[in-house]
Amino acid sequence: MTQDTVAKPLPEADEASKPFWDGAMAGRLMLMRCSACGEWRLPSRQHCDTCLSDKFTWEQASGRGTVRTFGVMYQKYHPGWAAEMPYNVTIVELEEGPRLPTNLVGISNDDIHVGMPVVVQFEEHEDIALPKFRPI
Amino acid sequence: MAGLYAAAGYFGANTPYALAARRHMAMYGTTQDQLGVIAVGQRAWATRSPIAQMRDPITMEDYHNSRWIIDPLHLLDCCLVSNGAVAVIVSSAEAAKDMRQPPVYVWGMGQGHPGDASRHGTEWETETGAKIAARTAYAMAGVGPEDVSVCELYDCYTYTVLVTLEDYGFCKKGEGGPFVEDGKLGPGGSLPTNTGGGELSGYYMWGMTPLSEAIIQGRGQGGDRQVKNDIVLATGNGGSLNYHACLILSPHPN
Repeated sequence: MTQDTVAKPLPEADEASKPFWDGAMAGRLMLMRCSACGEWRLPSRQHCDTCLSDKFTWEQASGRGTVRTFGVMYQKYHPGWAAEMPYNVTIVELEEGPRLPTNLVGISNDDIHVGMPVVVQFEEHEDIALPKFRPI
Repeated sequence: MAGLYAAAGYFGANTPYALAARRHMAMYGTTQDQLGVIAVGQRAWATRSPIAQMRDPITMEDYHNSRWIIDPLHLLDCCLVSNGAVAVIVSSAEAAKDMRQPPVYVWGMGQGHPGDASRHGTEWETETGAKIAARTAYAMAGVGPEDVSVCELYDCYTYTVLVTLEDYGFCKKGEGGPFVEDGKLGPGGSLPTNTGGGELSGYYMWGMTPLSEAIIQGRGQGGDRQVKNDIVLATGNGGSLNYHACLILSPHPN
């Protein structure tokens, strides 16, 4: 098997995260939010880690955020990523507070800096869409 | 959210530590050279240790020329992979009196566990559990950072040393880079640190790396690398800066 034939690993929706991935397919960044204390939950989970409530709603996030930190990967961990090395691994801090592991697109790795404003766009695959971010 | 990290190409322990180091660089102006000084200094220690894996000296040029793993971490920012074993005997001071080896006394201990690094609202990258562990251990031992003779710090990456020194109060938060850049951690420096080469150049036995070297130093068995050993600080980390514990050790009863 050559590197070209190995796909990148893709997430699979589970019960807790299905609204997140359904939202992504529809071009919306959806976040779980505690109904009791208002705390955002990402990753999605059954109980709020602030007040332990199991009540929640799903709300659409603005899709805007800033680069909290990033690295540029040169080490091949998964053959599906080999063709893109070196690629950026970026943590985006959303306006709502949660932090999302993602990649910046539409920018050279050399131009990325901590604190830069970014906005979500979705990378569509057959059964799932991934939130990626581009500079504003 | 299984797979969210892999879908971003976020793999292994190298990634979170690179992200933490980058955050520190952006917040405080920490430089690649300052991380490099830590790697070069620890290798200089390793050249003096018969049990170190990497005993050829390195220069700053070697550091900068070592391949990127994940920028800002070069190969020489990362710990080794080792096979080995370490055993430690813990007993009462009384029981240790007639043992063959000189005893090393536990003056203080502490731990601090910030937990889930991905949770929002934290500064997990630059402020670690070491802060809480330090407070507890210093209070128990009745000492402060100014009293520490030698540090044996968990050093999975060069950056871990830098941020740990800050959290133990050897310098202010954010000043770890300027603090280390004069080479004070290396042989002949004012704060000997990771005197066996640490996990970067000695051997990677998890928290047993700093602990074993702390006991060697505490017993006065460091040979060519022996330093003043009145107060020895040994620290250990787990996860990606999620867990932290420490011991303050001494050859003298407290």
